[in-house]
Amino acid sequence: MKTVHQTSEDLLLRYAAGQLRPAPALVVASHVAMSRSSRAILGQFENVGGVLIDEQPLAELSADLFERTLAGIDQAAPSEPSAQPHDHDALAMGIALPEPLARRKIGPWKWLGPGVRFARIEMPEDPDHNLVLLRVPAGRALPEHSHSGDEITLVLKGSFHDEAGRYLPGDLIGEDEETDHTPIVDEDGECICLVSLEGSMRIKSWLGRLVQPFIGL
Amino acid sequence: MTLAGDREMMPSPDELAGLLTRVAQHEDKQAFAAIFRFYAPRLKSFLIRQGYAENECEDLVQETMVNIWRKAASFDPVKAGVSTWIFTIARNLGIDRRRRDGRGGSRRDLETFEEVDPDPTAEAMLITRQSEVKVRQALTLLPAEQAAVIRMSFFAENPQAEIAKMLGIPLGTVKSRVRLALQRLRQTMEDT
Repeated sequence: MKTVHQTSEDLLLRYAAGQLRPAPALVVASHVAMSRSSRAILGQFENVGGVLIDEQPLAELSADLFERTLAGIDQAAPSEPSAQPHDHDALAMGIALPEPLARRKIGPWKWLGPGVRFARIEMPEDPDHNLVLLRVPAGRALPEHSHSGDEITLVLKGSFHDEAGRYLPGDLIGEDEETDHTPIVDEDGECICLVSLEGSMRIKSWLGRLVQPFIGL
Repeated sequence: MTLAGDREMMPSPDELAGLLTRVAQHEDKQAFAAIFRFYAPRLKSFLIRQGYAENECEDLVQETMVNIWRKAASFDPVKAGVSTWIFTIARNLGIDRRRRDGRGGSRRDLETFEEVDPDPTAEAMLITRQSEVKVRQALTLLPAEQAAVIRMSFFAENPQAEIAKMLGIPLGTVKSRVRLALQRLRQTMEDT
C-alpha cells in the first residue's frame, strides 16, 4: 500500500505546475518515482497544464521570433548533461534510492541525537531549504521539532506512525507550520526518510537546542 | 516569413499530432510553422502569467519550439496530448532557467527537471489517452471557485496562501477547498 495522503495531492499539483522550489520538487519527484498511482495523478494534472495553454489568449510576438527559432533549430543540439547516479554505498542504507535522489550528491551521516543521524543532500540551487536524509532506529521517536515553513517527508525505508496513521515506503507527507505531531518509528526496523524543510528547523528538546548550533541544521 | 492563416482556429488533437509526426519524420518546416503559429503566442501568454519577464518569455518560447523540433520523434500520442507534451517541455525549461538564475551561483552540472517514468504503465496510459479533452470538460463542470483554485495553482508559487489573503479566509479553509476541487476534478474525469 502506497498512499498519497490527501494533504499531499496538492503537492502533486504544484509539482505538475512547475511551482515547487527545487528541494521540495526533488522530494515529490522521488515519491512519484516510487508510486504508480501518483504517476497517473501527475499525468492528469499535467493535462490541466496542456488545457490551460490551449485556453490562453494570443500574445503579441516579436516579429523575428520565428526566424530566430528557425536559426535555433539549425544549430547543433547541445549535449545533454550527464546524469549518472552517484555512488551512495558508503551511506549503507540497504535500499535502492529513487532515481531523482540517486543522481544527487549526499554527504556523510552525522549525529543528530542518540541513534539518530542525518545526511545532507547537496542542492546549491535552493539555499532556502534544508534537504536531508533522516535515519531513526526502530521504536524511536523522530526528533521533535517545529519549523518556520513547509515540511515534506518521503518514507524511503521502514515505517513510522503518528496520531493520523501509519506511513510506509513511498508515502509522501506534507506538513505546514501549523501541524504539530509526534511521529514514532515502528518496532520492526529502522526508518530512513527524505525530508525537505523550509527555513531552519527548531529542535524542541533541550538536547536539540544544545547541539543545534554545532550541527548546523 | 509571414505567418498568415487563421490564428483563432483550434486544430483538432489529431491534426496537431499529425503536424508533429511530419516534423519528426520529414523535418517538415511548414508543419513546424503551423505548430509555432498555434502555440507560440499562447505559450507566451501562459509564461507571462507564470511570472516570467517579457524577454524571458520569448526566450523560453523559442527554446520550447526548438525542443519541439528536436524531440518530435519522442512524442507519443498514446502517452499525452500535444498540448500537454508541449506544456511539460516549457515547464522543464522554465525550471532549468530559474535554477540557473537562482542564488545557486555557478552550477557545474545543470540537471534537467527530474523526469520520471520514461516507460508509462498500462494504467497511466489508459488515463492519459484522450484526457486533455476530459480535463477540459471536467474544468467546465467544476464549480467556478473550484476551477479557479486549480487554475491558480499554475500561476502562483504559493497559491493557497495567496487565495486565503485574497478572499480573507483562513488557510485551512483554502486547503480543504483545494482538496475538494482536486477530488471533484479527478472524479469528473473518471466519470465522463
